[in-house]
Amino acid sequence: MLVNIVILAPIIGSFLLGILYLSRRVLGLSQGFFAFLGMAGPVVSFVAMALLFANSYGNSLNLELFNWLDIAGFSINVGFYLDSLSLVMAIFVAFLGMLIHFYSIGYMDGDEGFGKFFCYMNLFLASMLILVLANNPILMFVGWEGVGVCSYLLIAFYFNDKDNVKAGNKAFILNRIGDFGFLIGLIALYLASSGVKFDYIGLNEVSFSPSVAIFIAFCFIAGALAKSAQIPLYTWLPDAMAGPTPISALIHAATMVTAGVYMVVRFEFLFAGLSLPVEVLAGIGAAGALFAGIIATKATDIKKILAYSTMSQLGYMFAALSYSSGAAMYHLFTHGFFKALLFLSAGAIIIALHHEQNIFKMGNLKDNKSLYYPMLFGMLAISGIFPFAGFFSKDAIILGALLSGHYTIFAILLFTAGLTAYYCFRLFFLVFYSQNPAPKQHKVPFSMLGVNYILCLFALGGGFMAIFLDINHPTLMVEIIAGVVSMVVSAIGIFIAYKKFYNYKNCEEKMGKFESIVANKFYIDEIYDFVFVENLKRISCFLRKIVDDKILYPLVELSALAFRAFSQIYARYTQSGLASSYAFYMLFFICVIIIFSKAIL
Amino acid sequence: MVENYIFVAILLFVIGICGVILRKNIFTIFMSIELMLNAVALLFAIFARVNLNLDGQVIVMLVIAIAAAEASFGLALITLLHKSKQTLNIDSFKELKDGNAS
Repeated sequence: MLVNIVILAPIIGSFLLGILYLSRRVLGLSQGFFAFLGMAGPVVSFVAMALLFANSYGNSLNLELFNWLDIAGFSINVGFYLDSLSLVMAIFVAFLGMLIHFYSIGYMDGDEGFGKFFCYMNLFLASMLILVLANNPILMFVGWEGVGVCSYLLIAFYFNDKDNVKAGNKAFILNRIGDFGFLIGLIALYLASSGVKFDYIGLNEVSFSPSVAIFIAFCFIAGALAKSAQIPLYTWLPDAMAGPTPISALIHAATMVTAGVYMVVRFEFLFAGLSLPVEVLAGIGAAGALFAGIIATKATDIKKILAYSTMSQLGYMFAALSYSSGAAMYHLFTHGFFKALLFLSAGAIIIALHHEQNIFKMGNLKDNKSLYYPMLFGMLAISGIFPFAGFFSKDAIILGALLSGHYTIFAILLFTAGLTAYYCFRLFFLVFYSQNPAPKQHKVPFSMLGVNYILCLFALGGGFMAIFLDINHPTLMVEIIAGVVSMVVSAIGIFIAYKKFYNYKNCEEKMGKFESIVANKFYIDEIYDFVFVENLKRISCFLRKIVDDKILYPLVELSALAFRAFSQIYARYTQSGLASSYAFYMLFFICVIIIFSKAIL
Repeated sequence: MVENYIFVAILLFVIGICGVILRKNIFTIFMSIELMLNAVALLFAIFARVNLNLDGQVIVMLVIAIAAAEASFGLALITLLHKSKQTLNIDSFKELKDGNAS
């Protein structure tokens, strides 16, 4: 079966890569071998996925593979559910995954952990496909945790650097907070739906009582907020940029972080008919879009700007969930393409400039066309300029908000669109047009540039994804007006960026009071640190120093002491070595046992 | 009738136990053990008679045979113990005592 190949190819690939990486010195394996093996899984998976897509697009298929768990009425099957949503998402994941694997061959060239990197990437791809294709929430959770662990492993990929390890831990711990909610939701869902087959089709037929459904929905939303880096669980995403750039592109921009949106759409049977959780989610999304956009305007690290923009765009998707999940998925796909493109071209710039990431230390790169065009295409797409993909999807969201009567969200999103254009082109002008001296350029491998060109095409034409999705179309006239309005807003953003940063000369940016607060990310990290980390630390210190050392430890010691004293006294009087006294004890206790058993029975 | 026999058997057994626990001479203890065996054998014989089958008698024969074997072992052991310590007082044989406990 094709779906088996889709899932198994990267799993087997990662397994082989892992084993061979550990024994690379003994076997004398070259980097080329790992590159070949690392590519094999994703390519096979993508080809199989493409065939599967061609075969079964349009009709939904529920494949049961085998029984995984069967304990006293709790039965979970491993199976895959192929409907238009999961098929489109899976082929998108497989395609982007394959491209980014190819890019990584160039990016990771000469790295010590080359094989290990591909092992993790293959594992990630497999987990993501499981997440997307699973036919029941439990199997989805397996994939969900799988991508989480791969994200953790890859953020902390250069684990010799303490900051990277900290970033990895931060991502991991914040995601655990969300997963805790998700897990509670899963358990509640299982309890609430007892009696039906626990997969999406079975769950579709259950009618939940509203209060239970709202509880479960909020639990799931907690999971989605952490995975998709939304307020308040977003702080891990900017730090996650410590990982290699292909990871930022694949995991932290295009696929894993969108799992939250996908999950909400997948659990539509639960969310449909509940207005409260979805409205809350939309509010959080819109607030997050604006908030991240504001922070991005002052960030200086090229990858962190993109990370904040990812968060901002995910906010758009969450906002859209309240009125049109189709528009949210649309933006998910187009965003996946152009954000991957942006990250990958940022990666190319970083490689070309010897790992310089501060945009104020770059400048005047406009002559290097192989860096210039991919970045330009990505920026135009994310800013929503016609005819790039981002224009259509972002417009679908903004217009949807207006037409469905979410006026506040509409206003925020429209303003954020201008903000997005501003901070994106701030980056663009600083990198390509500013007069700042840039480090000497380095040659960028072909595999990276090639992937960038392919993604350029998708950033330009990704709007065609709309044909696979169910999106409401208002009349053409309304769409044209809305498109022009959002274009004008974006153009204003670009124009301000042009005024400020075209031929910019200073290696730093002057800042007022508010601006420096923004540059410090509103001190959210520090607030979290102060509220949660410091207090937890204090509580643990108290428990360790007072409760443990002063109360529990003496108690344990005392009981040991008492036991020893007692046993010494006991032993002195009983262990005399006299055969006759031993015979007496034996007799005595036999009598006791007899009397005791008589009394009991 | 049976009660009398059982009473005698119990008396013999208790005398045997008292002998094992209270007496100091190993020979006496040994004889007391034989006394306990005999008490049990007597019970078997009585019950065999009451139930009118021979199973109990067979076990009595077995007990006597094993008691004989035990006697030969026991006597040899007592001889060896006497050789090593020149005494037959059971209290002199305290090698089983844990040295650390005292």
